[in-house]
Amino acid sequence: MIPMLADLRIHSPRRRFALMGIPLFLLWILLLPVALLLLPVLFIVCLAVRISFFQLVAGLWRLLSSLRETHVEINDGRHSVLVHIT
Amino acid sequence: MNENRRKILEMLSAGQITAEEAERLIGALEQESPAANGTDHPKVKPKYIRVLVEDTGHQGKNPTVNVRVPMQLLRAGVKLANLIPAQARVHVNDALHEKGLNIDLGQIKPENLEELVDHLDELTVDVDDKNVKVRVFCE
Repeated sequence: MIPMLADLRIHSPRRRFALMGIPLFLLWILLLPVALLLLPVLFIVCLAVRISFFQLVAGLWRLLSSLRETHVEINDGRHSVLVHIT
Repeated sequence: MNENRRKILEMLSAGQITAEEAERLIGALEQESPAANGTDHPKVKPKYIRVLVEDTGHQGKNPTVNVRVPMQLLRAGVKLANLIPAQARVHVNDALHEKGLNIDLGQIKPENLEELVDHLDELTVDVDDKNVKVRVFCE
């Protein structure tokens, strides 16, 4: 299942930015028409570089689906970044 | 060795039961509690690879990192990397050679990559420095 929510937090001395529970499912809905338009282009590119279109689409889908539960947190004392995907 | 098994062996050595009876009793014990042997525990596959960098210095200036990557993401990435076209693979190989890594990506098969990711669950790296502690492990 593709990720549905994400948390993003960026802290710096100048800026504090936090978005909790970003609804990724809305992003997917918005991106769906774009993805459908891009599929024929991707198909032509795959033919040009001789790679399997279906394997590529399946691989990209698998990559997207496995993003769930990814957690990245970096803090250097002054700046900090947190990304959590659920 | 558990208590019941010890008793059976003691009875066998005392001549109270025959070897066949002892075998039958041990077989019955194993059927009764297969998990008690410790051999039938299915190995729990780790779901994430974790990278932790902790600042152990007193000044607190070193960056701290806490990254958790799902193993599935690694697998997906590895499978996707396998789709690199032959033309691009040559460039990647050249770049690797320049960095001193004599690896030919063309020689790496999907099953090798699967095996590599599978064996990552046994990976644990601990680096202790004066100011920083780095841990890479699977959980």
